[in-house]
Amino acid sequence: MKRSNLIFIFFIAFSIKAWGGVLEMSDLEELHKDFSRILHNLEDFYRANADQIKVLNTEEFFQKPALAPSFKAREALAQIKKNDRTSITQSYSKKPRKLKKHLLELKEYFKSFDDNNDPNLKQQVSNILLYTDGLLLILKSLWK
Amino acid sequence: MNSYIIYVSLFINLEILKMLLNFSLKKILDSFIVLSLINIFINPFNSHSSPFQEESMPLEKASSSSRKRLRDPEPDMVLQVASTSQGDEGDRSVEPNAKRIKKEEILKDAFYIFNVGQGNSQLATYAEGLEEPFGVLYDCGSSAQTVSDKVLKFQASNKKKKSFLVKNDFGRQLQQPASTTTSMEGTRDEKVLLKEEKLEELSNESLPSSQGSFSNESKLEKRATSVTTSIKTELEKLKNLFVILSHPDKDHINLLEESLPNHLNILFILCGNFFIESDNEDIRTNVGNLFSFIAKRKSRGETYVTLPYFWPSENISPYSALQYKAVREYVESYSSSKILPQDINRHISKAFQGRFSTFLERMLKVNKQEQIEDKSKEGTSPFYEKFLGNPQLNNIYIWSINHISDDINNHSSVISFRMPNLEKTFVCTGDAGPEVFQKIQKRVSKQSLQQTASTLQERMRMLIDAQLHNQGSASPNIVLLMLPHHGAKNNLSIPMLDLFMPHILGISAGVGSMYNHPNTTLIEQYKKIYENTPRLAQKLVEFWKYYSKEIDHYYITFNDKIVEDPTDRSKKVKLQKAQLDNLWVGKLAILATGIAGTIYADKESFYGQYLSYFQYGEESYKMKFKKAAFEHDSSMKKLMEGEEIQRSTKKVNLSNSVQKIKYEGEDFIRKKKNFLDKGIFLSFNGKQLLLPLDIEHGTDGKKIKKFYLGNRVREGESTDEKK
Repeated sequence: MKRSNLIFIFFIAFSIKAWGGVLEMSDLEELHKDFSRILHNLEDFYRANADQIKVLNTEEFFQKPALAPSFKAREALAQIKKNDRTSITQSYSKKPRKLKKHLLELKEYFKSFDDNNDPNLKQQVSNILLYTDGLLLILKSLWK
Repeated sequence: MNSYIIYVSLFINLEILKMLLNFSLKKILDSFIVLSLINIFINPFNSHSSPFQEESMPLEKASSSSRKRLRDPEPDMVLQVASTSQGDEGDRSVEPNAKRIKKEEILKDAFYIFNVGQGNSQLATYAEGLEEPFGVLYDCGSSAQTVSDKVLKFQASNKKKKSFLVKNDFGRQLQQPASTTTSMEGTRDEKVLLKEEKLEELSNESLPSSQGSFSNESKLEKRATSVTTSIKTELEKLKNLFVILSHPDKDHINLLEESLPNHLNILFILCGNFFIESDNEDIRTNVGNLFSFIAKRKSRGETYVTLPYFWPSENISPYSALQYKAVREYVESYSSSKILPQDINRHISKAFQGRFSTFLERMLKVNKQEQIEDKSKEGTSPFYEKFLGNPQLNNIYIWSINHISDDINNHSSVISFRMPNLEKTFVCTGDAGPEVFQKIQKRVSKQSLQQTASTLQERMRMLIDAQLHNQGSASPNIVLLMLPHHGAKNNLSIPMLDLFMPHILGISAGVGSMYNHPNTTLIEQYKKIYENTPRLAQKLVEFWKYYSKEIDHYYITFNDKIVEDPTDRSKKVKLQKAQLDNLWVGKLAILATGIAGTIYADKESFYGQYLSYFQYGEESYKMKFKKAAFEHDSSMKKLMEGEEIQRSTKKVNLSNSVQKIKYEGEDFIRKKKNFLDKGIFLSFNGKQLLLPLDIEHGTDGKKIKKFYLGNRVREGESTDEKK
């Protein structure tokens, strides 16, 4: 293989890695206040891990983040860790910093988001915040 | 395998060390690339790994593990892989490679809208439940390739596709986390510190394999031109193919020779008048080349050809009026200087409409001696005969063929592909204009007299839906209609929408070519029609009930108008504007190949080959459409010539008189080459461009202009979006 071809493949491969994640909101989404894609991807994560989230709820994992997770919660987290079938896990494969960055960006944006005219939108925003906070806590635990 | 690669990697590392001592930078670079490539090839063994998996392993632990692996003897490693895969079937990352490759090779039903630049090509593959799969290739041509060969070649081998739209999983229940509001208030964001810095370093050591696998197909691909690579890759998997060429036009027929693998058995169905008298040398040359290619194929797989435009009636030998011998002589001795045969009866007594199987049955009435076929295979049945009893053939319906018109575009055949396993139907339209759909409507209306429903509309609906939707199915098929003529202006066709009631539209067009397809006004018209027509609006509700948007799918539309040249009033100039659009939940969904590459549909999703490549001149640029570089705002203070725009600046007043700007320390100059009335800004070294695109803002049609940054994709240059 020519050296020039090798260089090309090498850089293209790295550039692919730089593709944005599914939780990064676009200008157009902000402009049109269309958050359904973000919500879908978050819901996809919580759907795929529904059984584990149920356990985490029972174990009050989300309510008491300062405490160390219980044995059952740790087991559930381990299972979430294994589940690679959601758009979020596939998109942020090997990019935890990016995942954290995008989650914090979402949180910052939606915390200050104010549109009381549309109850559907309000519900969407509230759900996104709920899922974002939850996912941040899951991430935090998994990286401990 | 892994041990071997690690040993090789170690060896190369030692080589690098040696070279470092010799200060041989060139060799270091080579070795570094080789090492990285090895990493890429290792990665398929770990594809689809969770972000919570390997990188969650602390660096020290990971390193020690690697060291341990190096010491491990080979048999242990094999045993480890085997036992893990037995223990956890769900984890594909530890699946034996050979087994996984075999799994991937199982052919499934699928539909492709190939990215051929400014052209048209779609493929329906019927494979599930069939002993012998078959495909139907509808058109295969291009008049302008709009993505660089290198990008196409790489992308064709990249197996990871990006799903724009995914089917909702109604089977899985959503479990919400208990509210974290109270607790999160006490937890400052800064406290949510993830120990990923070190892990990031670790992850940089290897690339995500799922996004960079290199298939055997790509290795086999030797062609310099790769606009056809992905077509050929898919066709390699088949043995039997029906090639339907909608009409004789360059951008629908001229890529066949380089797209069709030799081993295929093919029936070519050439729709429309392929012997039309035309002053267009391009058409004559391309049709001539096509016939030469078909004639050459006689020595390869089974090759048959038919020209249904010249079928006079159901019961007469289809070629009797055509005087087929003349065509055969023409085919065998074609050269561009030869005059087209003049003895062809161009009057067609009956247009065909019906199932594809009926069409093939009629073909069998053709006197076999009059067909172009491989004489060595004489006496055996044509390959397509064995498909006649196949119920899958009944899923293909010909709505229009043999339409008589002075406009060759209206000769286009209109064909629907119902794909029950995908729960989708695809309607291919070629370049058919509104009159073709009006004619279909009339024919369907006539046929519907035999139906029992009360109103004409209901009767017609029953007839059409019987071909588009699966009988007895609880949910309707999702109908994707390919917009005719690449979404060119003046192609608005309401009868087309009435007939097929599509849920979603597809466009095959090359952004950046001189044709400026698709047209902004046309797209806006279709969107408005969907919003204002209840039965069509219902289709959108239906679609978004079943599908969700997973990643953004961008497409660019164009508008142009002819105005007086301000410098010379005797001359006219074309003003062109480009607009960026995206999929919006609840609105009419449009999938376009322009900047997203080949579109692919399976049961679960609609995928794109890549996200956003833009061709400018001879170069391809990877665009960052998620976040604009800056927005034009005429209320701001005017930017001076050569003034710098900082990355943090969100809005600038960039007047048309400004020819030079600086962005992020890079000098850009305005270029008006090819298209866009105000041009684009290109960096001095050509590595970056700033593309001005209109954005629709609000419901009143108000538009704003944003500038999007693109990085050139070229051998040896990074395309990192972070730049």
